[in-house]
Amino acid sequence: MFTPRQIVNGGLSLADADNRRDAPGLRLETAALGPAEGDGPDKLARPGPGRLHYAVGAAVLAHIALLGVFQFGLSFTVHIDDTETRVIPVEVVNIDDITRPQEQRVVAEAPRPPPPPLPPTPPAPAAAETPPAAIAPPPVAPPEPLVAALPPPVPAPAPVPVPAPPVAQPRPTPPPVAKPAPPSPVLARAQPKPKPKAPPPPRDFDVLLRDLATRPERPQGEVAPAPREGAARAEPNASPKPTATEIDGMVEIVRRKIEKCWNPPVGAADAGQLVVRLAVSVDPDGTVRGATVLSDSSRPETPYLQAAAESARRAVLNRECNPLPLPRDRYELWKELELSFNPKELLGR
Amino acid sequence: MKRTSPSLVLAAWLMLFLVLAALPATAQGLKVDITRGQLQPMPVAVVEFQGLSPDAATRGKEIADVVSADLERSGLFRPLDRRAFLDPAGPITVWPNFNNWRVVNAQALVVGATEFQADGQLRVEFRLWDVYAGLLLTGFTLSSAPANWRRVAHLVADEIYKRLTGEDGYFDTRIVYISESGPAQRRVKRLAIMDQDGESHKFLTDGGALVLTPRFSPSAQEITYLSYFNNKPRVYLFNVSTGAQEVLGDFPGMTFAPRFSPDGNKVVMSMASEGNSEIYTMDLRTREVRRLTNHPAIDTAPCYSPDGTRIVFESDRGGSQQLYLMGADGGEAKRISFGEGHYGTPVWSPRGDLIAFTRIYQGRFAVGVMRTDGSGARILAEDYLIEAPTWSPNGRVLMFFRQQPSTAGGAARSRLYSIDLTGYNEREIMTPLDASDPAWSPLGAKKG
Repeated sequence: MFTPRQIVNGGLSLADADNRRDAPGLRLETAALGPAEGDGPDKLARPGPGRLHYAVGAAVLAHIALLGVFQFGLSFTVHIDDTETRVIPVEVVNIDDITRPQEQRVVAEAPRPPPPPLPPTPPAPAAAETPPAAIAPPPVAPPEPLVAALPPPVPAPAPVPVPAPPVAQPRPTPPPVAKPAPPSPVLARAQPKPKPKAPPPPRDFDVLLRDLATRPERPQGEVAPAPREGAARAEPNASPKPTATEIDGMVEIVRRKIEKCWNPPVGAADAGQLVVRLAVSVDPDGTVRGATVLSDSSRPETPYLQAAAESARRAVLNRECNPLPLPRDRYELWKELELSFNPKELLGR
Repeated sequence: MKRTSPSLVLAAWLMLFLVLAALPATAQGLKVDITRGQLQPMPVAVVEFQGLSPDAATRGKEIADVVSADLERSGLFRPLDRRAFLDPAGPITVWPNFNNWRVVNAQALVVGATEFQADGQLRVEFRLWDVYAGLLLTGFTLSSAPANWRRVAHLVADEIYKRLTGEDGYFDTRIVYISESGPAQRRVKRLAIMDQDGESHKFLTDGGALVLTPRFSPSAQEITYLSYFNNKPRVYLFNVSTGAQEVLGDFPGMTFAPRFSPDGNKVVMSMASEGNSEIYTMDLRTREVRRLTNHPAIDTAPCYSPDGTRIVFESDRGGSQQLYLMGADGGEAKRISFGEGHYGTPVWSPRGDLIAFTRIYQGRFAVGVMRTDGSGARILAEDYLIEAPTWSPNGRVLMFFRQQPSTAGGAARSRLYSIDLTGYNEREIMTPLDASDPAWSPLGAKKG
């Protein structure tokens, strides 16, 4: 922890502090993708060299892996989002104003209080997937999550992969899926892929096929363990397919709510160009958990854009506009939102 | 062969992998377009800057007050009442308890500390926090002569403004204007200067000669203006720091409407002779004078674009007074204003994107802005008589003067006002006497 003294004297510079935060976040992101894809194939390749049946086996394993990916996919995003949530805030602007005063002697670049990356960061790691359970932990235990965030970035996705379908479902289902499912997250991280491969794969894959084929007939996810897994990717929610009107309704709910809290950058130069996209993760109770700016690499990061992005973030994090009154039984549809903030129509010119 | 096939298969699967893994990132979640918002000032908590000694604490409170006032006047921020704070004077060195600030709905938090150092300097330190995100946004430390505390406060406000809006602030700036007093027939007009918030007011001339249309040089160290000395109107240069004054060239005719070029090396102005007025430039280093227009109509009120390549001016060559654009070296002029009424006093935004103007239509005056091609004209303020727009250095606020109809026998009341580009935030700038012809200094103007 930082003591006031450290902050003043030894204090990290703004950049230092932020880099600290930044680094783990970025690492997390790449690590999550890297091993997940590289790992599987790698191990598959080893056993199979040179023999046809190995090849077949490899193919089967690949299918399994694919299955895993279906589920990974979701967990990846979730996880990355969280990570990024932590990353954005890290952005820092240099204080060049110090140079402005001419007759006033600039003493020093203020000792920035080393932003203890602790409190804000934690939520991410823990929150990863299982929405319901995750909610509570994040805010609570800052230290632990931090630790987890650094090394086990990869693992994070793991727990969900094989067994636990990204679909938020309580405990009841575990039996079918069986396997490592229940293990503590920590354990899960430790053994991401290896185990899942062997036993369940074939069945899972079959299930997947079947499920795909039959889906139209009985969209109901039911509690059936098997279907869930397969459906995970293609159809996240277990309830009936949402109608267009239903979706429009939810979009409208979000829009109405957030508009009240958005203070758009109207007077800015080229305000019409300042469209900001946010990936927002929402807790089941409708409270925004985090927001990540979806950067557009084609646009230079200007102070205007930064301010616009922050105004959008403030809008979604504003207490007065939380929680979002969305239908809880459709959580799968709105646990991740993509908001596009466009001030163009506000310009009046 | 056989060895390669499995790897090929694997490669294929891997590809599929990648594709599928990438999908959810874009395909997931509801998509919502937010195209409307609330134009509300952002609630900001500005805590009194802490000081160890009583003197430092008092000054700390005053600095926080100036910062608050700056932010409030911009119309973009709403400093919260300090009495509502749960942490009324949280030390600057500890991580704020953001929950206490969320409770009072603060979106940004400003904390600071002041200290009188052994060498007599005043040291001011501040930090700006994003309350919702729980992040340090910016902060710095400044030391200066204690007498400069207001400037320090303005610099703090500028930094906050810049970090939260993305644009430079304009609080550490000054206004030069014409202070007016006395009856209508014997109006005394003096050049005066003050901080952007009306503080530190000072008269620069004694009122012996009539003065008009003051303008800052880009360095903010010089002011050019029109003065009637011995009843002859001429363009003068006034050095703010030395108080030196000089006539800008000895022209055969009357010169007026002077304005500096963006690099400060030239002055562009009008000269009238034999009933016609044309636009000239004078190079301040070589004193070389060049004529830019040559038209039987009246051409006046020239103003450079911020990049110095073009000049906008007013002319009645088309039959009525309208705005025209031409190159910085003259040449063909292109009309850009086509609205109803007369258009005059064009002023190019320092940001380059807009041109402010005065419009006279059906006997009423209005101040507005248009894009540099003349499109998108908007009126920001309208009244019996409002005129002489001048831009804040960040191109986001206009200042002008408004004159009320004179009452029987008395002189018309005339005051300065500012309004931001949205047209919603109009404020009066308090001056000791009547005021007209304001000119906003560039950023970072040194005190004279």
